[in-house]
Amino acid sequence: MQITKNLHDTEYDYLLSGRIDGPAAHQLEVEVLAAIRAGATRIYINLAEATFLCSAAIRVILQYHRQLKAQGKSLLISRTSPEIDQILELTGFRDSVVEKT
Amino acid sequence: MRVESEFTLLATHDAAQLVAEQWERFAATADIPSEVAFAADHALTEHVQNLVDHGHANGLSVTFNALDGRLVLTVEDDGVAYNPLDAPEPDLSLPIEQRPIGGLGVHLIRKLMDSVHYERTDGKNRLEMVKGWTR
Repeated sequence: MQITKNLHDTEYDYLLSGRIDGPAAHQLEVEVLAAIRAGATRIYINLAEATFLCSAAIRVILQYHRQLKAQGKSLLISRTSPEIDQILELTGFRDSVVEKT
Repeated sequence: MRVESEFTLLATHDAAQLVAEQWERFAATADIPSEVAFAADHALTEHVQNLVDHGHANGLSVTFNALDGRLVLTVEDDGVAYNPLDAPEPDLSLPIEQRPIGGLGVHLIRKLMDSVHYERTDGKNRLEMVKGWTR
């Protein structure tokens, strides 16, 4: 997996490309934690170029989505590929964590 | 045309990645449709990662079998008795704040494959995951 980060003030955008498996889920968590520590108020995760999304990565997204929401901040998925959208739909979390356009 | 591949590996932290690499090669060789390959890739990764994280297995034996539009994935391990199908189905109607975060991997396996069967024989766990397709 490759992570590209774009930063605008306290808004963080992460573009995740390729296979998001167990090690990549850990890498994502490290990035998100660093953003939170740096004062991020909005975190967007773009999965349009992701080819695989394991449950460990979904757990990371859910955990920090909940944590930030409770603090009046946000972590949302900004875009998905059709394949990743299917995985999120099957878990029942898609409507909660994918940004509504 | 029947295409089959069988291999063994240690249940180390990189086992899921190694199985995924074997699967990618097999799916190309056996000309598995992309949506079936995608589902099987997820099912294999989730199950093998669960075994590595929680199964206390030393070794895994994996078989891929494709014949006439039917794919059978079999994973055998020598860990503690563990039937992933004992895990309750998550309640998708609960608000996100109340949903348990665990158990997603087994849920995905159930949803992505047509059928999943578990048995414990000779001190080993055996999970068979099946998915079919028509062209």
